[in-house]
Amino acid sequence: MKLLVILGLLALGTLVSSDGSAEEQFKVEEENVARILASKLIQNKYLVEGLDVVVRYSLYNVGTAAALRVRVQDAGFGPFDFKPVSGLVNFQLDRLAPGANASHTVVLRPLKYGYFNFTAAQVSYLASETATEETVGFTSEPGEGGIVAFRDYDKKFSPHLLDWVVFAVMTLPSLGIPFMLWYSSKSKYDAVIREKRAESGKKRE
Amino acid sequence: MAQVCLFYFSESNFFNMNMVHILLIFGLIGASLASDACQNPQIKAESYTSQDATIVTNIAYIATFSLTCANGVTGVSLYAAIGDRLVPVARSADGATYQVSWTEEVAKATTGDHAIGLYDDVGYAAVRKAQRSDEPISSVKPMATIIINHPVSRV
Repeated sequence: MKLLVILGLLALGTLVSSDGSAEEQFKVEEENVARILASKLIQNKYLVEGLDVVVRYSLYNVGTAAALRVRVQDAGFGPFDFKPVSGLVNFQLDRLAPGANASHTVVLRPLKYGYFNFTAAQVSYLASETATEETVGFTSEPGEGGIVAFRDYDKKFSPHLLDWVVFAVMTLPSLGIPFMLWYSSKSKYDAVIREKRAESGKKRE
Repeated sequence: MAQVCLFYFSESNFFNMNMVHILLIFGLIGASLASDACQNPQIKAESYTSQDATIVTNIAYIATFSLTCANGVTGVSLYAAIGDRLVPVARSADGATYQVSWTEEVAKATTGDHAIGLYDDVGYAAVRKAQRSDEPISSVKPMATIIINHPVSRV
């Protein structure tokens, strides 16, 4: 019985100590290291073929040291799928201070319609001034988006000015012909009335 | 007496040598600082703003520019004053093109000219000092200014 109790206590002891050592084993010693959180967001309500797609990269340094030579490379916008309008798709920041955030915006135009998978961009940086190896990570991934064909978008959203002008021209006959008929009979009636008044005036004299 | 004179002479000589060394060091530091700073910066800028507000949630304001220094310095780190913050300016991989950009919500987007002040490392330190004494960023003269014009947001 005593042996059992002692064995039990020993087992408990080893369990507790092993948990402690496991924690210590997996505890990461981080002193004065930069950590960058990066997000890539598409700032669009609609993705339309041939119209602007605004992509915003946000970098946030949550570490305690400045991140040096922060490089973002995005290979997700191939030349056959997107046309660059403004902004650098691959860029670098010399220094991102601890606790600071930076954002970078790019405008592109899709060349084709259909479903497109917006992938993550790669971020690499030196986590401290003494670091020799780059820390590599990825931004968030916007995911799959449907790029609408320009014809469909235009049908729904354009002001259709030409269509309205054509409609006005087409309704002119159905309004104009009755008007012309009425006007010609009115002008004839006015002429008859004028003659009768003139005759009655002469008779009084 | 002669010994005292000799002592004084050598002491003053020692001070002279020290002063010369100090002056040389300061001179070198000054020269190196001056050579790192961009002299007479020339900027060639292109700007773009997204004008179709129906399809985007945030209007993008982007200015890409190249910087040429009279003293041939390249790879200068720049900071841009956007709003009341200084943000680091992004550079292309070859360092030849810089980009300043930000986004604003469609409802809050402002039209017209937006003047963005650019600061190098020295200017950045001056701005941080001004911010610590609660002065606006505009109290520090920027190295250069670029203007982004947003004509209209068509909804």
